[in-house]
Amino acid sequence: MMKRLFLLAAFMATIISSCTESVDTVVHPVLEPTGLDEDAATWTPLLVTDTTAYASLTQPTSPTADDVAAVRAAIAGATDADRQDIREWATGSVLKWNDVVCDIVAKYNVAPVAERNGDGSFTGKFIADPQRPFTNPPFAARLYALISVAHYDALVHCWRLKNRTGLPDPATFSAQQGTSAVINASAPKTAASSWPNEDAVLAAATREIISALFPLEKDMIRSLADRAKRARLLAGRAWPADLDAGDSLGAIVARQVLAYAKTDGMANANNQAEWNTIEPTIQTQWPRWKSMETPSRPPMLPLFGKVKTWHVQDPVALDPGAPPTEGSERWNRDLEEMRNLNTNRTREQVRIAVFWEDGGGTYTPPGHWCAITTEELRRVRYSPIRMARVLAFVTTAMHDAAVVCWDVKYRYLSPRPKQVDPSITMSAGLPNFPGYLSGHSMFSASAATVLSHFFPDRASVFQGWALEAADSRVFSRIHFRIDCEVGVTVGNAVGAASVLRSQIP
Amino acid sequence: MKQSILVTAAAAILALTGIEVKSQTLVSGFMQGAGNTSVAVTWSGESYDEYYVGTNRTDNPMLGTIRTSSVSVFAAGGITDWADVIVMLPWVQASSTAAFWETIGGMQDYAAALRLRPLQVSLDSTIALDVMVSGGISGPLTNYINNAPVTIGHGSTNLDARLTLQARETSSGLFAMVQTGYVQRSNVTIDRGFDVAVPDAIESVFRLGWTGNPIYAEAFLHSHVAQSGTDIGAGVPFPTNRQTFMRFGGTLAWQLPWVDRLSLLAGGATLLSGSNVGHATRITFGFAYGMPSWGGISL
Repeated sequence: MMKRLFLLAAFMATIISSCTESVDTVVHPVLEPTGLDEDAATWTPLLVTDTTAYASLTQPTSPTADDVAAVRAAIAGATDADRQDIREWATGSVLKWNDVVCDIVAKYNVAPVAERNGDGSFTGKFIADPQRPFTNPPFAARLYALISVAHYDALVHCWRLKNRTGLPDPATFSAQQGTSAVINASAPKTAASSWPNEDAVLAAATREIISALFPLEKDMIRSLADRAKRARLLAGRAWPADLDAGDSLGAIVARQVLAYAKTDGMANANNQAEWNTIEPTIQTQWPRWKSMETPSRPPMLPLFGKVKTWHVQDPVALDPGAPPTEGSERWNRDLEEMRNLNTNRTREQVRIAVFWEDGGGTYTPPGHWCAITTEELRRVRYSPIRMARVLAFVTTAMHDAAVVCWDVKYRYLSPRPKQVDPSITMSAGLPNFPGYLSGHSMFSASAATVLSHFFPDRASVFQGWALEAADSRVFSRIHFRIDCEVGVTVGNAVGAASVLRSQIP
Repeated sequence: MKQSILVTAAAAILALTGIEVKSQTLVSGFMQGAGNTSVAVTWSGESYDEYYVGTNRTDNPMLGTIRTSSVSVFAAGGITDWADVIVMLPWVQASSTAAFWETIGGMQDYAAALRLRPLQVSLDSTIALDVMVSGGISGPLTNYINNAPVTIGHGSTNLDARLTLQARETSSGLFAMVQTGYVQRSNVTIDRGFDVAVPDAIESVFRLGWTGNPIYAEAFLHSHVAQSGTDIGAGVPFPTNRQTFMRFGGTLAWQLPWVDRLSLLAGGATLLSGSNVGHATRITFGFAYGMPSWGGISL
């Protein structure tokens, strides 16, 4: 009996001791830039070139003893939560804001739901809530670009003002003075001079754009921006006046970016009435794309192909021509591949299909490439302005890729494999728009081309990932191979246009 | 003969409660007895066309009806009168009638348990109370897809500890069992490229039944309460879902008069309430065989 009870006790103890939950959360290292890029004041902004708007910012004079005392008092009153914020915002503001935007995209990446009557039947309407924009891949590509352009342009102007004033941040000033009223830095320096503060610029630019596009996130983003700014003050890296000027500058630039966004054609991108007049004029030599959803859903953003591009001069000039005619040799070969994959696929092919799917509720494919870019930037430890520059050229390339891709999709209305052969099942969710060209392929190829330009030693890695992302859509039987193959070619061309623009000094 | 139907009964419970809606209640209240080994092979079919997102019941025409079939092999062996070893190997296939998502099939999760009976008391001359504790481990046999609307499991490795009380009236064959236990689940890697946590759960089972030659019959209530987790939603990895449910079911075993030691099994179960699970109904058929005793170990 004793033996049995002992066994029982030992057994229960083993189970209970292993009952502790652990969930991994990523903690990024504090980022100390390898250089501060003081010459970035000469870089060319992508959109906002008007300098009169911020001419009214009052330049501060040299810090006084009162200024020092105020910063010292604030640091002395820092709480544990403040210290956590200091640590968090010292991991790279540009990267951190990119993550915040990615999370918002994931949260809003939900297609409008079909409205149902009391008996469960479809009312014929899909409930689109203007307070909750659907952050599908083209929407997300455009958003990431708007944010990154605002970041980059605002930082270029910030650097211009910094170079003009050349004021030291509190910790640097305190070290120079060698007074007894010491201000210690608790985060690395991210710019050579302090006014206006670069983190406040980024915080305000993000806050203005997110508040305008996602009204329900207004309070969240305001509070986050305030904490980001406060963290730099408490880290000994910004005077209050630096934060105020940075905030004003970031907001001024963001408002100009928003003014651009109002007229870039997005407002008309989902105009189904206009699309219904265009659609009948299109001739196809293949089964004409139709929604496979139940209930049938109007195609997503049929006029996104008319949205303004950043670098591609004429989207129509990149039109690769029509997809293969039904019954042609290429058509048959691609269809055969779909049928083969439907019955025979490796576990690795399914993993690749799911890894790159980036479907509903995720960052979308452009967000996946933003994450790839931020990982790279974290590795090379660029200054904030150089990080913003890389992100701006990557994201604007992906925006252009979305425009060109959607233009081609709705020019040719080619079907998805499932529409051609209903026996085909898929490893991923089926998007509600035409097949040719593959968006994943275009986003990935355009981003990889730009990243390869900025990080030539990693080019083969990026190109490999882009090809894998393109393959993933074949493996998942979402796209015929031709959609992806041509998508990569056209995506590379879009990326090249972004690279060309980046070479303007 | 009495021993033989009890062995069959143990196997029947094993067989019919093995693969639940992604959880396991492998352990019945009947000890095998030293040297007695039962094996069972079953086929189960489960289907649902409505499911719960959180606690909201809904359907999805893009999924249609989700059907799951499984073939399982079980074995339970008595090492001594107070210690049993139980193992299970299932092959599962899941498909959806809307045929957007690919059919997934393969070997699912092995399960193994050790059951001990530290205490057996006679409440009076006819009622025996068994107190049992058990511990189990289960985990994926293959690298199956664990994060899709149509899937065969979560792919986590699980440890569970259970306490079981069963009272049986020897004269009539009536019995009642209560069981409660904690299931701890490991994190899993999903194909999206990261690890996610699979919620732990508290499981409880209540059985009422009758054993008598050549029939075994029981009804059960089975509750599974996730201790954390998320509701089904866009982009939410399925293994992280907070799955909670209450099921009701029954089992019947009939020992064949013309084949020694062989019993036929049949059973069914349906969901009474749930969250983040399919409103599934399930039927099972199979057979169990009581192997000749090898005598066991006397401790």
